[in-house]
Amino acid sequence: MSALLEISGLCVSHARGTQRFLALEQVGFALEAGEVLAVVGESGSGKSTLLASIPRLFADPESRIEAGSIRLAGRELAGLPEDQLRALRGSSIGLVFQDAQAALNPVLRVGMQVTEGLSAHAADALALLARVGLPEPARAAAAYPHQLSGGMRQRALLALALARRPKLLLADEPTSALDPVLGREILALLCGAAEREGMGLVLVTHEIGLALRHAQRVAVMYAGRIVEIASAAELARQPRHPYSAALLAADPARTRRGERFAAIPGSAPAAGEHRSGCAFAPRCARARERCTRERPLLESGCACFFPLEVRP
Amino acid sequence: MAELRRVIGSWRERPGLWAALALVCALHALGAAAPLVANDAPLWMGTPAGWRWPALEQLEGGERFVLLLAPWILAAPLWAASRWRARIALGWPALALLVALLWQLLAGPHVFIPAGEWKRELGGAPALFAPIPFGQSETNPSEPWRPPTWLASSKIDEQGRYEQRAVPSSGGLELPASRVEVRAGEPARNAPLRHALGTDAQGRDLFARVVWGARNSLTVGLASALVALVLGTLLGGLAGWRGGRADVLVSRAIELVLCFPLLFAVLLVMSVGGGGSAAVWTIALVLGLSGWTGVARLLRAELLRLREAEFVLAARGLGFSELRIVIRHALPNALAPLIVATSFFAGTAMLVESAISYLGAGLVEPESSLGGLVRGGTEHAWMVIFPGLVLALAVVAWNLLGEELRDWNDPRLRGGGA
Repeated sequence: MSALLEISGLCVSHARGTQRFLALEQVGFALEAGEVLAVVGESGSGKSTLLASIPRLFADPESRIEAGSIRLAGRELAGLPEDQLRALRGSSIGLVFQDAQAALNPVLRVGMQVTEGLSAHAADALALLARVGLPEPARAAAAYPHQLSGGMRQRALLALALARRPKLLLADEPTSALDPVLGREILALLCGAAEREGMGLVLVTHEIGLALRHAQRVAVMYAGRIVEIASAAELARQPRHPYSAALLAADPARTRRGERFAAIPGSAPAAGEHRSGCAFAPRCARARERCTRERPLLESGCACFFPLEVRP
Repeated sequence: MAELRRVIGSWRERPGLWAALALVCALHALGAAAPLVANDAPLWMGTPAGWRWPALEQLEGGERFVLLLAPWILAAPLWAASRWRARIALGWPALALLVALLWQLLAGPHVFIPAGEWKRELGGAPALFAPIPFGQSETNPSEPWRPPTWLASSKIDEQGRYEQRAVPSSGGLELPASRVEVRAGEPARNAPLRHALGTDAQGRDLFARVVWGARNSLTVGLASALVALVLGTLLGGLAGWRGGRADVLVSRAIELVLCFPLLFAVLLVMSVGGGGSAAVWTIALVLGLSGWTGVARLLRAELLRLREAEFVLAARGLGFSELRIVIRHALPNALAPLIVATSFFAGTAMLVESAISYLGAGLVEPESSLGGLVRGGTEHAWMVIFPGLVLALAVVAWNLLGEELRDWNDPRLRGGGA
């Protein structure tokens, strides 16, 4: 029995002018049905690109998959023609966007958007809206997006993604437009739905605290690569990559009152910046000469020559 | 009744929109029903041989269809607020077409009888006349340049002389006064509503000419706006959504068309040929063919913006086809400038048509348009004021409707709704 989603050796390039650069390099992981995998990293680490490459919906139409394979329930998506891939979008792959205000069509009523394109027997807007915990689904269905509150909009967006019961749900920072309490509620709803319906969920976030709380496994990305992938419990207890450790240390929730945040010195490499060796080496306190020369590969869940054995 | 109450309720919500819609529809219904509003042929007459319907018998095939649409146009504000609009929108024009075809088959080709002749042939038979019992080309030789008959200065004695003063001078060209002939069905010689808007040089009733002229002007406005809307939407949509080579081609085409001054383009076509009885449609087509650029440019710009919108990406994420995304998700968000541009163009087209008619290259007599009436009426104030007022009213009504529709289309400006 193969996994629900298997990605291996995925390379994606973006275009800038006439030049191309790799935004994702050799990314690979597997996701089981009913599992929640969180992808964390800074802005520009490639986590959104990773998510967009699965249904091949890049923000820039010039972006393309250079190499690697994406298998959804055993079916290869990387080379699939556009029309066959389109049939899978929505029905097999659901998407939850970051900003519900922008992702909902402002001139269509919510109920209409939720049921659009569904067969008549599945098109029960009220049931779909009630499923995502919207109070007064009838009122929400008759409303335009701008008439709902931020939390209600996000729930409506979730209802849209869940309406066709996809096997795989991709959520790109679904809570960063919401306040923390609401965000936690929405995430709990999302993960609950994934678990209940046996969907695989890939959750992209830049908040490692949220990732650890809601996901079973966490992949940490840096500069277009996965630097560490581990179960949430393991990562929280004992991060092995120095970058994961630094991210954890910088989590405000883990910082004691009165202490300063542990900031990571330096800044992430700019997109397309050519690097030899480990991309994190310039910012890494543990970097040695080998790190700037050779590139560490992901081995047993960690891409580092000198992994941490215990939390510093 | 409950439905009627609902309709009235939605009118109360947006009185501006409904007022503008009602005004536009009323004007267009008046134009469409012109044969029943102003006609020298009686609507009905009872001859010994049986009943006849001269006003209807005179209509050609297309005019019959337009006439049948008139009540629908008048009822459009009612329809727009009703719940059964889809059914009525398709059903009524289809029915009108069917009836017009049957009518064509049963009644045969139209009978042409010179203006005014019906009234003479009536010979005392009972008849029912239109509210304005004058045709657009029916002359009244004894009443040239007669002021509106509700004015005291318009009173005429038995011999056809003005009681108060001589008729305003027109350079000594006027004929000697003669007895006013009051034909069957016409108001009495000095009845206030005999010529409510006065007459022109040939004694043609100005009210009848304004009604028939408005019919032509409004047709030009509406038809050219529709041509511009359809063409502009197709080409602008292609350029904005596809981008790339299609965008370059359409953009250059827009620039090319914009190089031709609208007025001269129409004058050129009219002078090359295209006048005659189909002149209204020629003008409308030429105006539409040069007016689509405004719509296309606006739509292109909107779609370039919407193409990148997140809800369009979200719609792709739900696996919708490109066509569906364009029509259902992108276009409704680009409607605001489209509506405004189209309705403004309907007003502009009417004005351009007036300019063409004013220059004398428009419709052929006795056909007229509001602009043509203004041009022909430079001798006397009433001949300019009334057609001018109707023209202004029509242009303002279209512009108002455009603005109100734009506000109504945007749920954020609409208020309520939930």
